[in-house]
Amino acid sequence: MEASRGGRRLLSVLLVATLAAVVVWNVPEPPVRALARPVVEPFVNTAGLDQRWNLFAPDPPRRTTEVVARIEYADGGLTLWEPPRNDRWRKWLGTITNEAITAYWAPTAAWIADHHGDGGRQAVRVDLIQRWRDLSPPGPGAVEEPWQQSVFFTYVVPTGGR
Amino acid sequence: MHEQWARLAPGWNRFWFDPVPTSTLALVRIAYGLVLLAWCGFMSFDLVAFFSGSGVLPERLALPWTWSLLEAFPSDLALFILFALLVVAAACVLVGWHTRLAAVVAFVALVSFERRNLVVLNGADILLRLFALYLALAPAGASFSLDRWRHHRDRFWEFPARSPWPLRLVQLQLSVLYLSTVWLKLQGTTWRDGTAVSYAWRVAEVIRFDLPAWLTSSAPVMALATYLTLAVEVALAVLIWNRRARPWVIAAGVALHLSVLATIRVGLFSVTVFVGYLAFTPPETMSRWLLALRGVLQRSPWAPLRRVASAGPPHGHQPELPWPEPHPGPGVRPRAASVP
Repeated sequence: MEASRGGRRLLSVLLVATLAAVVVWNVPEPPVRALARPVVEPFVNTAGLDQRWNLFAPDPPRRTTEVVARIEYADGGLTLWEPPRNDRWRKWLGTITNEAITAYWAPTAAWIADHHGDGGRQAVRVDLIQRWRDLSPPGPGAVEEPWQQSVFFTYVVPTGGR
Repeated sequence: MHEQWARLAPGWNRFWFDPVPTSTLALVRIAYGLVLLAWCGFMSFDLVAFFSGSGVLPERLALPWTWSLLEAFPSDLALFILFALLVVAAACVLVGWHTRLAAVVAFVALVSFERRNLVVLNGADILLRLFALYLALAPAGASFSLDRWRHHRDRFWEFPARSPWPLRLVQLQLSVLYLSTVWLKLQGTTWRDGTAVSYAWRVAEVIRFDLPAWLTSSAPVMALATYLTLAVEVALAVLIWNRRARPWVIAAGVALHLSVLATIRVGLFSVTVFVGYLAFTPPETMSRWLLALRGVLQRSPWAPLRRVASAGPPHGHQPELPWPEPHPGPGVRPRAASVP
């Protein structure tokens, strides 16, 4: 295609359009974003060019947050579930708690109940617990805030599973 | 306007279309295949949890103009088949077997997984998907691949010149990535007041281990680390296009991402970025490296490797360009062969 002048011209148009769409997509400023995003969104999303590069941006969290689950079994036993220490579980649990996406709390607790039977024991209840500690700015006099925690959701496993 | 374009056109065509050896593209393809296989390995542990109807997200979040094969085929069987196809595609990209088809399959599968659960999406996922698209557009199997072995065994150790525009997209994507992240960071306060790295290194759920308090609470050291991070990211966006500065900029980028990789759980983001850095290797340099590898293989005690090395052409053979070079216009410099 690029061997002919016409092919190069066509490719050039496509390349300019693609780059322009990608650049516009990445502009964080409200006026440009609000005006141009609806125009480029169909192309960018359909072509799989959507992207966001916001690791620790605009700011890293100033609160450290963890989510664990307390699982209660039919025989009265208790187990503390800690998520696998990987990026995806951190993102999932952090997002659904920090952004209060309540619709995902029940499926998350149900998945924990389904997959942590602990030797065949039937889970009957799962408490999702958030633990957090505020981080102080660096510098002289920086103090470590104490950890706090609260149960933010309780899931009672329906009889016969979900 | 027409005159302006006439002045710009030769440079534009040289940048995007003048053929360059595909040795660099081969290296990018191999590195990409390795990283994608690793991605599949890590993903296999959480496949059901995050992408199945019985997982934490029973139905996909459908955003406008997005698509996913897992919406059309939501069963667990379809999930496992798609994942298996992705693994096979990654292996095919790695060895360069039916390379373009493999890259297309990888792209479609990655899009389908990512769109099934946007919440768990990270930078590595996005970059791997974009690189899959650019590789699908590129003649990524033209050099140092099973495709090359099957069709041109007598010229296996040639690296035919092709138009580099897909590789340019990989390079430009990195610039966009770094410009975007710096721009976003400057919208906040901690990157401007020099405390961002201190916070990032104390977020318990992302750090690999507790860093010493004397380090993370030292305001001057953390300010230096914060501003240095921004400076390196700006350099990676802009100065990487300067041929003299490029090795230093890439070395700084590697150091930055290795420090992130060592201390923070960012998935495969750092190593995926390194795949992008490889796209800046001059093709002539890469061709020399591959030919040096040929010499090593010739001395190998293992017969199959010696057989690969003995494929054609003989040493010193110069490959032909795929089409005649266009006649340069007035005032056009000869093509700089070492520009990646």
